[in-house]
Amino acid sequence: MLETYLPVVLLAAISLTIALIFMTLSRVMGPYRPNKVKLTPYESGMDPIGEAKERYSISYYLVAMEFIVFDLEVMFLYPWVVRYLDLGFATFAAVIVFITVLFLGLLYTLKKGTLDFGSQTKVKPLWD
Amino acid sequence: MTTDLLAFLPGLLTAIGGLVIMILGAFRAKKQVVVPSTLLFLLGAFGVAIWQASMPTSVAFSDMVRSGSFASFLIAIIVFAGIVTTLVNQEVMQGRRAHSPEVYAMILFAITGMITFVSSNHLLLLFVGLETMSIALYVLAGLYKNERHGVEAGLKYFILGAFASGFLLYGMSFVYGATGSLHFQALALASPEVTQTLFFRAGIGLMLVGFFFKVSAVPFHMWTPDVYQGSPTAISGFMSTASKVAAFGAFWVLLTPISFSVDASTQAGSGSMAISALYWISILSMVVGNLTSIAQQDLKRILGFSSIGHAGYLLMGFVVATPQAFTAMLFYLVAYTLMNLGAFAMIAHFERTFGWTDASMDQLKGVGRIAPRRVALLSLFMLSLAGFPPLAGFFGKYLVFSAAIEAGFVTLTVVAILSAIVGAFVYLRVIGQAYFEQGESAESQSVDPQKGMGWGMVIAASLLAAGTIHFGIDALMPWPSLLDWVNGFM
Repeated sequence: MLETYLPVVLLAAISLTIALIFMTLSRVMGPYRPNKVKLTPYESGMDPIGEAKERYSISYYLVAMEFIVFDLEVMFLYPWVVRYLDLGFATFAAVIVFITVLFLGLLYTLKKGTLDFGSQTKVKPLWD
Repeated sequence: MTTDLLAFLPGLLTAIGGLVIMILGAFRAKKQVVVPSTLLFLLGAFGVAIWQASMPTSVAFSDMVRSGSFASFLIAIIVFAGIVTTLVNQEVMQGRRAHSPEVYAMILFAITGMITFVSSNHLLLLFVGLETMSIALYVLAGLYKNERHGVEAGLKYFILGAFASGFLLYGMSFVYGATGSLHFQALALASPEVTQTLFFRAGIGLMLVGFFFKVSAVPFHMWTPDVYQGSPTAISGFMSTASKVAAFGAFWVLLTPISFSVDASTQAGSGSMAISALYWISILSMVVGNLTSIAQQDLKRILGFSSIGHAGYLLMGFVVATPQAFTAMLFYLVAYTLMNLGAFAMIAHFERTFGWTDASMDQLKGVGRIAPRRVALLSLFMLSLAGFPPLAGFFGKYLVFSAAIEAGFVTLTVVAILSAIVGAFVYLRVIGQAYFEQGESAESQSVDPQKGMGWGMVIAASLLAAGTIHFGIDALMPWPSLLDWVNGFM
C-alpha cells in the first residue's frame, strides 16, 4: 500500500537535493553582499514589519482583483481544453459566452481607466 | 438547449441588457440612449413573462429552473417594478453626481438576480439568484456615497445582508446533510423520519432567518428604515417591492410543500414548528412595524416601517397556507408593489421638485396648497397602503384576512386588523400634513413649484395610480380578473 507513494518520496528527495545544490553553488561561487532589502522575505513590495494600519495605493487592489478574475478564468478553461473535442458544440458555446462576459468586464475596467496608474485627473460626472 | 434558454428568456434579456448598458456607459453614452435601451430590455422581458404566464409549469436546465405560470407571474411583477423605477429614477436623479449609466445596469442585474431567484428549483440556484440580486442592491443602496445617510445605508445593508446570506447558506448545508438533495421536489418529498430530525429542523430554521431578513420581518428588520432612508428614493421603492416579491415567491415554492407534507402526516413536525415561528414573526412584524411608524418623522422611514408591517400581512399567507391564502398573498404582492412604488415615486418627485434636503414630515407642510393634484396622487397611494376601499390595498387586506378567518386563525386576524388601524393613522397623518398644515418651508422655496412632472414621472404615476384603483374593483367586474388568473396557478 505505502510503496505506491515511492515515486512521490523520490521526487521530493530529488527536488530537495537539487535545490540544496543550487543554493550552495550560488553562495560559494557568486558574490555575496547582503543588505536589509535583499534579506526581506518577499511580501509584494511592502515592509512586512510595522504597523498593520498602513495606507497603500488602491491600484494594488485593482490589479489584484483583475488578477483573480483572470486566474479563475484559466482554472475554468483548463479542464475544458483537456476534453475539448469530446464535449461538443454546446460546451464550446457556453465557454464562448463565459469568455465574452469576462471580456466585457475587462473592456469596462479599461475604458473606466481603473488601470491607468499615475494619472490624477478627477473623474468628471457623466450626465447633467 | 433551446427550450432551456427559452424557459429562462426574461432573465437572459435582462442580463444581456445589463451588460449592454454597462458597455454603453463605459463608452460615455448619453442618457437619451441609456434610459430608452434599459426600458426596451425591460419591456422585452415583461412581454416574454406575460407570454409565458399562460404556459403550464415546466422545468429546464436539468431540473434547476422552473418556468411557466407562477414564476412568470412573479417575473412580470418584478420587471414591472423595474420599468417604473427606471422611469421615475431617470427623472428624479437628474443633476446628481451619482446618476450614471451604471445605475441602470445595476437595476437590470438586480432584476436578473430576482428572476433567477423566483425561477429556481434548486437551493444552489436560489442562492446564486439571491446573491446576484443582493450585490446589485448593495451598490444601489450606497449610491449617495458622499452623504452620511447614503454611506450608512450602503454599509449597513451590505454587512447585514452578507450575514443573513451566511445564515441561509448554513441552513442549506444542514438541509442537504439531512436529505441528501438540494432539489425542491426532493425536499418536499422527504420522509417524516428525515424531516423530524433536529438537523433538518435546524436547517429550515436557519434558512428562515435568511428569508426573514430579505423580507424585513421583525426581529430581522433593523436595517430597513435606515437603508430606505439613505438610498436614492426611487431605488428604495424598488428595494421595498421587487426584492420582497422575489423573496416571498421563491420561499413560497420552497417552504410550503415542506409545511404541507409534514402537517398532513403528523401534527408535530418541522412544518408545524416553522408555522408557529412564522405565526409569531407575522404578529411581531405587524405590531412593531405599524406601532413604530407612529414615532417616525421622516417619510422614507415611515414607508420603511410600513413595509415591515406589510411583510407581516404577507407572512399571514404563509401561516394560513391554504389555496385561498396563496391567492390572497399573490394579490397582496401585486397591490403592495403598486401602492408602495407609487408612494416612493411621489416622495422622490417632491424631493426633487421642492429641493428637499431630507424627506421629513415638516417638508410636506403646505405642499397640498402648491401642488394639490400631485398630493392627491400621494394621498391615493397612502390611502391604499392604509387599506381604504375601493383601492387595491383594501381588497388585498380583505382577501388575506378572510383567508385567515376561514382557516380558523381568528387571533391572528384580530391582531392584523388592529395594527392595520394603527397603520392607517400614520398614513392619514401624512395626508393631513400635506393638506391642512400651514407651510412655511415649501412656500418660501426659491424653486419654481409650478415645475410639473416630466414624461417619465407622468407615465409611471398614471400606471401606478390606474393599477391601484383598477385592482381594487377588478374582482367585481364581469371580465376575467387577476384573481381568476392567480387561482389557475394552484
